[in-house]
Amino acid sequence: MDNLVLEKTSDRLGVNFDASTGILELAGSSYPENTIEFFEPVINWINQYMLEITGKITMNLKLDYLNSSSVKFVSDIIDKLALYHKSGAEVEVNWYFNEDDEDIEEMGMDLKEETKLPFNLIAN
Amino acid sequence: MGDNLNDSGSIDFESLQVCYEFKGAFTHEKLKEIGDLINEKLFPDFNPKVRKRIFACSNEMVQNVGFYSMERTAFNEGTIGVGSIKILINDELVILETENKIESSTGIRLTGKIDVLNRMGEDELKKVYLEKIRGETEEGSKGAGIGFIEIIKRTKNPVRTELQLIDNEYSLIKIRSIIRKEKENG
Repeated sequence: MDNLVLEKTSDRLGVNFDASTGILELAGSSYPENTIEFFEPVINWINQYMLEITGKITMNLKLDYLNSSSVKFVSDIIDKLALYHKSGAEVEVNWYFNEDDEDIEEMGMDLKEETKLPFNLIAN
Repeated sequence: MGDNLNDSGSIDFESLQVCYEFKGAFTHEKLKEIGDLINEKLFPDFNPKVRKRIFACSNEMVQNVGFYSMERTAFNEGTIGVGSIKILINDELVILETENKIESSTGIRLTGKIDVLNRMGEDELKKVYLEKIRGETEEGSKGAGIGFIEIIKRTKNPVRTELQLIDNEYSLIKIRSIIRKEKENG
């Protein structure tokens, strides 16, 4: 299975998904023109990894800003990981936030509250 | 949610100055251009947290006009909404104001929904927010349906709306987000 690497732009997240280590990173800001078009291949890659590789997933989220449409997709990814975890797979989510950025910290706290996944809030 | 404007909850419009104004097609490029202006040019001495809040509100509001304005112009292979945005500022507040054409019936429903959100306390708003991001997107919504909740959560102020009838079918909807220049607790 190929890795998924997408360069970060001003309105799109950088994506670095490594199929050999199961370390998946999303970083930056997300307010693309077409949110579905951006997130569809990202979610498809995660689905494929869960079916084919069936290994551990470490999801590192290093987010600066998400518009409301993007929040929903990130939440969908976390729900997907939660199902994978429930099926017996090893999954860990690391939510990084800048200490001064209470909006991103609060978003992480909200999502952590809603999931049974191992979910670490990590201040930079 | 409490209104953090003043004791009467009104805005002192006479003290506000327009620091940015645009009328036209609300394309994604325009959204990015306004975002860059907010981040880099208009508010250089602002607390970065406040600047980010203005940026976030602008993105949601500009996207809404592009998606939902009933005045439309050809763009790429489809159409894009036409409307206007103003950024107003005084010593205490930054106000983002958009205006666009809307079907009157939709406008009445939308302002009603916003009124309900405005009246919610923080816990109730958070509950609705989490239900929305984890549920199905509402029919007719082109986003996640949580843009106004995002604005109220981030600004800790109600979203102000005004509907003005154009004719039997359409109205102009004016939407204002109100951002305090400094947070209460710094």
